[in-house]
Amino acid sequence: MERLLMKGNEAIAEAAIKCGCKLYFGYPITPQNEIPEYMSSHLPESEGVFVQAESEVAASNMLLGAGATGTRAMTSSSGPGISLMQEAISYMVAERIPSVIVNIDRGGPGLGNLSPTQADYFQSTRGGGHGDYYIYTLAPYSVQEASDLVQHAFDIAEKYRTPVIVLGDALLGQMMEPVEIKTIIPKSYDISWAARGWDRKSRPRATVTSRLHEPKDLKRIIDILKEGYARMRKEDVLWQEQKLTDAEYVIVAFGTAARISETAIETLRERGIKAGLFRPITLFPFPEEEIKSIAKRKAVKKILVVEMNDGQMIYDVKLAVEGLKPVDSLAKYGTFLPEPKEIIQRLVANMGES
Amino acid sequence: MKTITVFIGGFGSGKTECAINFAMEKGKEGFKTILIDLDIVNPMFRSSIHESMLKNSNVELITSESMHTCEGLPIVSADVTKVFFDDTDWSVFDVGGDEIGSTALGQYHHYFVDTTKLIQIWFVINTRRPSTTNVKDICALVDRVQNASRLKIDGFINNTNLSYESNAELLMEGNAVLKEVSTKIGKPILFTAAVKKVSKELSNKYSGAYEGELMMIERRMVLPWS
Repeated sequence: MERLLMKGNEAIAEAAIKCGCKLYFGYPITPQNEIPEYMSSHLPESEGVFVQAESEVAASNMLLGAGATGTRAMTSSSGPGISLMQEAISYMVAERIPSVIVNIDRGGPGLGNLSPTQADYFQSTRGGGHGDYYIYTLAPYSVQEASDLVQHAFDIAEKYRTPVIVLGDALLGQMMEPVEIKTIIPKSYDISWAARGWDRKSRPRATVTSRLHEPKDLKRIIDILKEGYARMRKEDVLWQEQKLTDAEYVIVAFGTAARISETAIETLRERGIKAGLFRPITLFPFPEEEIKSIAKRKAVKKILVVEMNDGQMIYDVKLAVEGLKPVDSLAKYGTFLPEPKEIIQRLVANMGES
Repeated sequence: MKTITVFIGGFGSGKTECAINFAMEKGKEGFKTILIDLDIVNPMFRSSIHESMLKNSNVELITSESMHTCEGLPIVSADVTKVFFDDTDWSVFDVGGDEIGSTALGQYHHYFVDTTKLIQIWFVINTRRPSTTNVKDICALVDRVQNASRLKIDGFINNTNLSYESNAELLMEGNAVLKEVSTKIGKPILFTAAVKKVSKELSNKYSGAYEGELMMIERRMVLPWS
């Protein structure tokens, strides 16, 4: 496969097609429009179907229906659109329907704007809709990783029979980078639960429902979800460490904020300051054990959380660090990007060198 | 002679990079130059983000606020029309990608028959973009863009690159594809666009092997913190 120059959004769409996504439902919203546009022209070439729904509510419920048949299906949206989808996402969780939802964040609350932000961290990692659940959330930081993680998202969705969110921001969606997109043949898995037509003989009737009126039925489903989350924590937490071996100063950042932090760390290293990056790739499950073990290291003096919101991931970092080391925050809200020099200043100020 | 140069072509082919670099060169050469940001497709990485840099090179910018400030509304500024009538020496159009972006240009087609001006319509191609990797797809795109813009292209700019992984070999690969396209469509490859490093490689290794003039590009559409 040759390397191509692609936008994050295009690569996400192509990666989904290349790993067997056959159905896409969506409704336009900037800054993710290249996803439905790419799907509309390329999905039919791979014997798939693209549907532009009349709204995000419709798109997400189409996704529910498609996922209930055990077919690889996807939707994508941003901010207000993802909010509209929360009802269907909650239903998909209860009905244990695999699906992939891409959220290319836009500034909020409200209609907000279309600039880069990570303000949907809480929405993604705390369930987002009604009820007792979490959503496996992936946060890529490059075009290549976005395409790889979309393909991973489908595997996870099927492994746990759950909706999975791939969370990016406008920069990741819009920027162009060289990328190589793998062709993946999906592993076959048990879809006897799926509603794909019934001959009344060969198997029991498959019913996909979230009608859980008896408390014991609801509890049974939540217990299954809890087992899944426990297994995710053991088997499917993803993170990346950069220059942490001797680090005294640890930046924790995901997505684009991590990308910017890399530049800051480079400069800090040039100045002889031992800084490194811990980058959560799954935001749920959060790599808490890994962060805690880094906080325990003798060399580590301080931890700085850099994020493009008013300080959301910092709660998870603080929970993980358990007060072992000071945790500081550089929280850039209102769709302003943190600059490398701001990150450096924040760290240097904390070292009493400002 | 007053000149209008239009950069048109595939989505993400590098039209904006070419247009900005070209306009700044003309501005610095002393021509009264205007860059028209006609992109109604891209919300980010547009020529408008470099307004002050353009100003420093003596290039006036015509753009539409709505595309990048609020809702990405595909509105074209009424000011665009003035460049067909005022004393501008060099008008450079940076058009949105594919037939969708070119549609915004179509409304001005009757101004382009003006015989008192030199009209140059240049089609930018990067054969490492997913929708323009082969002769068939490029020829089809040229057709669609010509129909949407209601204009005929004069030739091609080979801008085959992989961003920070660019090299001369990629340009030669694009050169081979575009040569075939050029024969089929009957329009020449006018320029080969390259950043400084790649242009050196190109003249060292492939002098005389590529089509058209060398067009020097400095990358402007970079990540905001780099």
